[in-house]
Amino acid sequence: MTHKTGSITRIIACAVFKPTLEHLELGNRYPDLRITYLPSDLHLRPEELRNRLLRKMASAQKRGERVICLYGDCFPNIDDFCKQHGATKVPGHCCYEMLLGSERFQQLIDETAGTYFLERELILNFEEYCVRPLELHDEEMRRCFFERYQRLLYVRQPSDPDLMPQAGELARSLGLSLEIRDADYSHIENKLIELL
Amino acid sequence: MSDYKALIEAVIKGDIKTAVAETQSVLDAGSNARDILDKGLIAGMDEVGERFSKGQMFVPQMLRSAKTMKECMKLLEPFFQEGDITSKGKVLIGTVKGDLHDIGKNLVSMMMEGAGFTITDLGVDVSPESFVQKAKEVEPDIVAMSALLSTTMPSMPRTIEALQRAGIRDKVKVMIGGAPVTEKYAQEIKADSYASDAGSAVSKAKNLLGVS
Ligand code: B12
Repeated sequence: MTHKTGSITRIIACAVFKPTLEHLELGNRYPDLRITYLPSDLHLRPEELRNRLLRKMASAQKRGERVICLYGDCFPNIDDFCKQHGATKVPGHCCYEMLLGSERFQQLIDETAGTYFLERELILNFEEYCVRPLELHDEEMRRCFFERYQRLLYVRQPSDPDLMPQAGELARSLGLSLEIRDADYSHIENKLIELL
Repeated sequence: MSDYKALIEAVIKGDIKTAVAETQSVLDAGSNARDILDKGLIAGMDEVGERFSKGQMFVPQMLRSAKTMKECMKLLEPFFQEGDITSKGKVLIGTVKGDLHDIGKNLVSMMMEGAGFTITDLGVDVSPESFVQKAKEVEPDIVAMSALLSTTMPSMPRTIEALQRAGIRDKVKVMIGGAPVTEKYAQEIKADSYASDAGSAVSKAKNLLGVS
């Protein structure tokens, strides 16, 4: 027998989920829960995201912690990747789906496939996450990327500041309409509780 | 033998003006259109694909290179239309329902077209029914599907089932691809082939149809 496994569970989450986890106050219900956030800009560098996730998982496991990953399918085979490294991924395809619930997400895509989703992190960092890497200041690139889209759909979370001016500006610059839906945390909460 | 170094370089850089001028110049010098396409344009795009997969190039640069190849192909088209080439097979391609990602699918189409396949492109957000309907109409050798979202991947087996129900599954080969798609998934859903990039999509399509 090696050293004793502690009772600590660590969630390694994308920073996109910070408002969610803070709102759910899981720490109050699960005193042995610890949360580590990784910056959401890692999505721009999927290989680095993999490596950072791996390092965080390994160091948590070295401390004897059980690891849960709160991510979407942000790089290919992320489920198997987590499993292989002894962690469990919270089921879910992307953050928007996890914030809305899969049924509602699917409904919105079925209604209008040309829906581009926004949440707090993306709105606040749109320049860094989309405009610069996709070169959206170039009109032709904007057309290449977004010509088939019809609407922006802002998934609003309870603790969001007023992001409507920024979201409105994005809609204008991309020539899309803007709609808002409130996040429904019950889905992600249930999934987390099941794993905890 | 012609040297296509400058053309390859221009395709990689996405420099349309230089690439078009180079294509014209090698044509004027007597190069064969097929050779220019294979050893110049396609070779350039293969290198682009390589750099992209290594993270040395991002999507906008890749789009510029693809556009460069397209512009150069316009100069070569008349030579192919004169019977220089016979079609290697018919490919019906589209991005599956609910998914609007089309950059990879367009690249695959372009490379397949470059390799001599006849392409019918259904665009994006293509339902299983639309795949079936068009397949009945054009009678393709290959039905090729692209998905970039793990939420839309299930539309691939649904399309295969729809082909089955329509009685045409045995008449076509089904090929799938897109970043979240894997060889294992292709086997699970009983697709005939999977390719991870546009270059291998071409060679796998040739293998499927037994053409070189
Ligand atoms: C560019 C991009 C976009 C553009 C798409 C523009 C366009 N016109 O296509 C924009 C910004 C609009 C966009 C939108 C969205 N995106 Co997006 N997008 C990407 C990104 C960064 C690159 C995709 C790409 O074009 N790659 C370049 C091409 C050349 O590569 P490729 O597509 O993989 O294709 C190659 C191979 O896969 C293969 N291949 C492709 N198709 C086929 C078909 C066959 C038959 C074969 C054989 C081979 C083959 O050959 C190709 C060439 O080598 C990826 C991340 C990534 N690294 O993949 C995210 C990504 C795919 N997107 C993602 C998401 C979540 C979305 C959105 C839902 C986001 C939102 N905020 O709403 C929407 C989708 C809405 C919808 N209904 O479709 C996620 C998907 C996660 C998941 N659950 O699966 C990814 C993985 C980003 C991430 N890390 O989270 N996106």
